[in-house]
Amino acid sequence: MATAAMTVEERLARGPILRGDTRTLVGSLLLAVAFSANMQITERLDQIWTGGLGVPLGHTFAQLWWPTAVIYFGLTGALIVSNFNPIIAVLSATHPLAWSFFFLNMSEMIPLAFLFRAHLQRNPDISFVPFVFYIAVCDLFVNVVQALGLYVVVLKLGFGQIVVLFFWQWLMAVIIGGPMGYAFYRAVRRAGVFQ
Amino acid sequence: MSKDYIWAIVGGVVVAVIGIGLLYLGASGAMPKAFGLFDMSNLGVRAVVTVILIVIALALFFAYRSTAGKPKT
Repeated sequence: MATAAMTVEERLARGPILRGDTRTLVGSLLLAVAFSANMQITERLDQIWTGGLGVPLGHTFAQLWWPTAVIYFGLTGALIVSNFNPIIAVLSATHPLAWSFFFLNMSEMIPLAFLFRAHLQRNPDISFVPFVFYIAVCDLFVNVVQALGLYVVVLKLGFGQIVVLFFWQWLMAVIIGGPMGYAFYRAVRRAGVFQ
Repeated sequence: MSKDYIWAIVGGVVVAVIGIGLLYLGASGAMPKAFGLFDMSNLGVRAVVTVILIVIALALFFAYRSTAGKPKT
Protein backbone atom coordinates (compact mmCIF):
# COMPACT_ATOMS: atom_id res chain seq x y z
CA MET A 1 0.00 0.00 0.00
CA ALA A 2 1.40 3.39 -0.98
CA THR A 3 2.19 5.74 1.90
CA ALA A 4 3.65 9.22 2.19
CA ALA A 5 6.91 7.76 3.54
CA MET A 6 7.69 6.05 0.26
CA THR A 7 10.00 7.53 -2.31
CA VAL A 8 8.45 8.60 -5.61
CA GLU A 9 10.16 5.73 -7.41
CA GLU A 10 8.87 3.20 -4.90
CA ARG A 11 5.35 4.61 -5.08
CA LEU A 12 5.37 4.50 -8.88
CA ALA A 13 6.70 0.93 -8.86
CA ARG A 14 3.81 -0.17 -6.66
CA GLY A 15 1.23 1.50 -8.87
CA PRO A 16 -0.08 0.31 -12.25
CA ILE A 17 2.69 -0.44 -14.72
CA LEU A 18 0.71 0.74 -17.74
CA ARG A 19 -0.45 4.20 -16.76
CA GLY A 20 -2.31 6.53 -19.08
CA ASP A 21 -2.38 9.78 -17.14
CA THR A 22 -1.26 13.04 -18.72
CA ARG A 23 1.96 13.28 -16.75
CA THR A 24 3.04 9.83 -17.80
CA LEU A 25 2.20 10.40 -21.46
CA VAL A 26 3.82 13.83 -21.67
CA GLY A 27 6.86 12.75 -19.65
CA SER A 28 7.33 9.64 -21.79
CA LEU A 29 7.03 11.66 -24.95
CA LEU A 30 9.51 14.19 -23.62
CA LEU A 31 12.09 11.46 -23.04
CA ALA A 32 11.21 9.85 -26.38
CA VAL A 33 11.90 13.08 -28.24
CA ALA A 34 15.11 13.71 -26.32
CA PHE A 35 16.21 10.14 -27.05
CA SER A 36 15.39 10.59 -30.74
CA ALA A 37 17.35 13.83 -30.94
CA ASN A 38 20.28 12.01 -29.37
CA MET A 39 19.92 9.11 -31.83
CA GLN A 40 19.85 11.48 -34.81
CA ILE A 41 23.54 11.95 -34.12
CA THR A 42 24.63 8.59 -32.73
CA GLU A 43 22.92 6.43 -35.36
CA ARG A 44 24.66 8.35 -38.12
CA LEU A 45 27.99 8.04 -36.36
CA ASP A 46 27.28 4.31 -36.04
CA GLN A 47 26.55 4.11 -39.72
CA ILE A 48 29.91 5.72 -40.51
CA TRP A 49 31.73 3.70 -37.86
CA THR A 50 30.36 0.24 -38.65
CA GLY A 51 29.22 0.64 -42.24
CA GLY A 52 25.64 0.18 -41.09
CA LEU A 53 26.21 -3.24 -39.55
CA GLY A 54 26.00 -2.29 -35.90
CA VAL A 55 24.81 0.37 -33.49
CA PRO A 56 27.39 0.49 -30.66
CA LEU A 57 26.75 4.16 -29.90
CA GLY A 58 23.01 3.57 -30.21
CA HIS A 59 23.22 0.84 -27.56
CA THR A 60 25.43 3.04 -25.40
CA PHE A 61 23.42 6.25 -25.45
CA ALA A 62 20.10 4.41 -25.21
CA GLN A 63 21.10 3.54 -21.65
CA LEU A 64 21.17 7.25 -20.89
CA TRP A 65 17.40 7.63 -21.44
CA TRP A 66 15.77 4.22 -21.12
CA PRO A 67 16.25 3.39 -17.42
CA THR A 68 14.90 6.78 -16.34
CA ALA A 69 11.96 6.39 -18.72
CA VAL A 70 10.96 3.00 -17.32
CA ILE A 71 11.59 3.94 -13.68
CA TYR A 72 9.29 6.98 -13.84
CA PHE A 73 6.81 5.94 -16.52
CA GLY A 74 6.81 2.14 -16.41
CA LEU A 75 5.60 0.15 -19.38
CA THR A 76 3.95 3.22 -20.89
CA GLY A 77 7.35 4.91 -21.00
CA ALA A 78 8.92 1.76 -22.39
CA LEU A 79 6.45 1.50 -25.25
CA ILE A 80 6.43 5.20 -26.16
CA VAL A 81 10.19 5.72 -25.96
CA SER A 82 11.06 2.48 -27.76
CA ASN A 83 8.67 3.09 -30.66
CA PHE A 84 8.94 6.85 -31.17
CA ASN A 85 12.57 6.89 -32.23
CA PRO A 86 12.30 4.16 -34.90
CA ILE A 87 9.56 6.19 -36.61
CA ILE A 88 11.83 9.22 -36.73
CA ALA A 89 14.82 7.06 -37.65
CA VAL A 90 13.00 5.49 -40.60
CA LEU A 91 11.58 8.83 -41.77
CA SER A 92 14.92 10.57 -41.61
CA ALA A 93 16.95 7.50 -42.64
CA THR A 94 19.50 7.74 -39.87
CA HIS A 95 20.69 4.16 -40.21
CA PRO A 96 20.23 1.29 -42.67
CA LEU A 97 18.93 -0.90 -39.84
CA ALA A 98 16.43 1.71 -38.58
CA TRP A 99 13.43 -0.44 -39.54
CA SER A 100 14.53 -3.09 -37.05
CA PHE A 101 14.74 -0.70 -34.10
CA PHE A 102 11.07 -1.11 -33.15
CA PHE A 103 11.52 -4.63 -31.88
CA LEU A 104 15.12 -4.24 -30.77
CA ASN A 105 14.20 -1.27 -28.57
CA MET A 106 11.13 -3.00 -27.16
CA SER A 107 12.98 -6.22 -26.43
CA GLU A 108 15.26 -4.30 -24.08
CA MET A 109 12.85 -1.76 -22.63
CA ILE A 110 9.98 -4.09 -21.75
CA PRO A 111 12.13 -6.42 -19.60
CA LEU A 112 13.90 -3.36 -18.18
CA ALA A 113 10.56 -1.88 -17.07
CA PHE A 114 9.63 -5.05 -15.18
CA LEU A 115 13.08 -5.52 -13.61
CA PHE A 116 13.28 -1.95 -12.29
CA ARG A 117 9.69 -2.23 -11.09
CA ALA A 118 10.45 -5.44 -9.20
CA HIS A 119 13.51 -3.84 -7.62
CA LEU A 120 11.84 -0.59 -6.63
CA GLN A 121 8.84 -2.34 -5.14
CA ARG A 122 11.18 -3.72 -2.49
CA ASN A 123 13.67 -0.86 -2.21
CA PRO A 124 13.23 2.90 -1.86
CA ASP A 125 16.01 3.59 -4.34
CA ILE A 126 18.41 1.80 -6.64
CA SER A 127 22.18 1.87 -6.28
CA PHE A 128 24.78 1.77 -9.02
CA VAL A 129 25.47 -1.97 -9.08
CA PRO A 130 21.91 -3.29 -9.55
CA PHE A 131 21.18 -0.43 -11.95
CA VAL A 132 24.05 -1.43 -14.23
CA PHE A 133 23.32 -5.11 -13.69
CA TYR A 134 19.77 -4.75 -15.03
CA ILE A 135 21.10 -2.83 -18.01
CA ALA A 136 23.70 -5.54 -18.62
CA VAL A 137 21.05 -8.29 -18.54
CA CYS A 138 18.58 -6.50 -20.80
CA ASP A 139 21.18 -5.28 -23.28
CA LEU A 140 22.62 -8.78 -23.40
CA PHE A 141 19.16 -10.02 -24.34
CA VAL A 142 18.65 -7.42 -27.05
CA ASN A 143 22.08 -8.25 -28.44
CA VAL A 144 21.03 -11.89 -28.70
CA VAL A 145 17.86 -10.81 -30.52
CA GLN A 146 19.89 -8.56 -32.79
CA ALA A 147 22.42 -11.31 -33.48
CA LEU A 148 19.71 -13.84 -34.35
CA GLY A 149 17.21 -11.58 -36.11
CA LEU A 150 19.54 -9.29 -37.96
CA TYR A 151 22.95 -10.83 -38.25
CA VAL A 152 21.93 -14.45 -38.86
CA VAL A 153 18.54 -14.16 -40.56
CA VAL A 154 18.81 -10.91 -42.53
CA LEU A 155 22.46 -10.02 -43.03
CA LYS A 156 23.84 -13.58 -42.88
CA LEU A 157 27.10 -12.49 -41.30
CA GLY A 158 29.90 -14.85 -40.35
CA PHE A 159 30.25 -16.10 -36.79
CA GLY A 160 33.36 -14.00 -36.14
CA GLN A 161 31.66 -10.80 -37.26
CA ILE A 162 28.62 -11.54 -35.12
CA VAL A 163 30.74 -12.15 -32.03
CA VAL A 164 32.70 -8.92 -32.53
CA LEU A 165 29.56 -6.81 -33.05
CA PHE A 166 27.82 -8.56 -30.15
CA PHE A 167 30.50 -7.83 -27.57
CA TRP A 168 31.34 -4.42 -29.02
CA GLN A 169 27.76 -3.22 -28.55
CA TRP A 170 27.13 -4.97 -25.27
CA LEU A 171 30.33 -3.90 -23.53
CA MET A 172 29.98 -0.29 -24.63
CA ALA A 173 26.38 -0.23 -23.42
CA VAL A 174 27.29 -1.65 -20.02
CA ILE A 175 30.65 0.01 -19.35
CA ILE A 176 29.90 3.44 -20.79
CA GLY A 177 26.12 3.61 -21.12
CA GLY A 178 25.33 2.16 -17.68
CA PRO A 179 27.24 4.79 -15.66
CA MET A 180 25.92 7.57 -17.91
CA GLY A 181 22.37 6.34 -17.38
CA TYR A 182 22.89 6.14 -13.64
CA ALA A 183 24.29 9.68 -13.50
CA PHE A 184 21.30 10.94 -15.50
CA TYR A 185 18.86 9.08 -13.28
CA ARG A 186 20.48 10.53 -10.13
CA ALA A 187 20.32 14.02 -11.62
CA VAL A 188 16.65 13.62 -12.53
CA ARG A 189 15.86 12.17 -9.11
CA ARG A 190 17.71 14.95 -7.32
CA ALA A 191 15.96 17.61 -9.38
CA GLY A 192 12.56 16.05 -8.76
CA VAL A 193 11.48 17.02 -12.24
CA PHE A 194 9.33 13.91 -12.79
CA GLN A 195 7.73 13.89 -9.32
CA MET B 1 10.01 -15.28 -7.77
CA SER B 2 8.21 -12.00 -8.37
CA LYS B 3 5.69 -12.07 -11.19
CA ASP B 4 7.47 -8.99 -12.56
CA TYR B 5 10.53 -11.13 -13.28
CA ILE B 6 8.33 -13.61 -15.13
CA TRP B 7 6.70 -10.78 -17.08
CA ALA B 8 10.14 -9.42 -17.92
CA ILE B 9 11.11 -12.77 -19.43
CA VAL B 10 7.77 -13.37 -21.13
CA GLY B 11 7.53 -9.80 -22.48
CA GLY B 12 11.06 -9.84 -23.82
CA VAL B 13 10.71 -13.25 -25.44
CA VAL B 14 7.34 -12.47 -27.04
CA VAL B 15 8.62 -9.21 -28.55
CA ALA B 16 11.83 -10.91 -29.66
CA VAL B 17 10.00 -13.79 -31.34
CA ILE B 18 7.63 -11.44 -33.17
CA GLY B 19 10.53 -9.20 -34.15
CA ILE B 20 12.72 -12.02 -35.43
CA GLY B 21 9.70 -13.42 -37.29
CA LEU B 22 9.09 -10.10 -39.00
CA LEU B 23 12.79 -9.78 -39.81
CA TYR B 24 12.66 -13.24 -41.36
CA LEU B 25 9.64 -12.23 -43.44
CA GLY B 26 11.42 -9.05 -44.44
CA ALA B 27 14.55 -10.94 -45.44
CA SER B 28 12.38 -13.34 -47.46
CA GLY B 29 10.92 -10.41 -49.40
CA ALA B 30 7.45 -10.87 -47.93
CA MET B 31 7.35 -7.43 -46.30
CA PRO B 32 6.93 -4.08 -48.04
CA LYS B 33 10.10 -2.03 -48.38
CA ALA B 34 9.34 1.33 -46.77
CA PHE B 35 12.81 2.36 -45.74
CA GLY B 36 14.26 5.71 -46.75
CA LEU B 37 11.46 8.17 -47.31
CA PHE B 38 14.09 10.87 -47.36
CA ASP B 39 17.37 11.00 -49.17
CA MET B 40 20.06 9.72 -46.80
CA SER B 41 22.66 11.98 -48.36
CA ASN B 42 20.62 15.11 -47.72
CA LEU B 43 22.29 16.84 -44.80
CA GLY B 44 19.53 19.48 -44.64
CA VAL B 45 16.92 16.86 -43.73
CA ARG B 46 19.07 15.62 -40.87
CA ALA B 47 19.67 19.12 -39.55
CA VAL B 48 16.00 20.11 -39.77
CA VAL B 49 14.82 16.89 -38.07
CA THR B 50 17.31 17.39 -35.25
CA VAL B 51 16.28 21.00 -34.69
CA ILE B 52 12.56 20.12 -34.80
CA LEU B 53 13.07 17.35 -32.25
CA ILE B 54 14.95 19.64 -29.90
CA VAL B 55 12.20 22.28 -30.18
CA ILE B 56 9.51 19.65 -29.51
CA ALA B 57 11.48 18.36 -26.52
CA LEU B 58 11.79 21.85 -25.05
CA ALA B 59 8.09 22.55 -25.65
CA LEU B 60 7.11 19.29 -23.97
CA PHE B 61 9.44 20.01 -21.09
CA PHE B 62 7.85 23.38 -20.41
CA ALA B 63 4.37 21.90 -20.89
CA TYR B 64 5.28 19.23 -18.38
CA ARG B 65 6.67 21.76 -15.93
CA SER B 66 3.49 23.77 -16.10
CA THR B 67 1.37 20.74 -15.15
CA ALA B 68 3.75 19.01 -12.74
CA GLY B 69 5.11 22.00 -10.80
CA LYS B 70 8.65 23.21 -10.43
CA PRO B 71 11.52 20.92 -9.44
CA LYS B 72 12.71 20.84 -5.87
CA THR B 73 15.63 23.12 -5.05
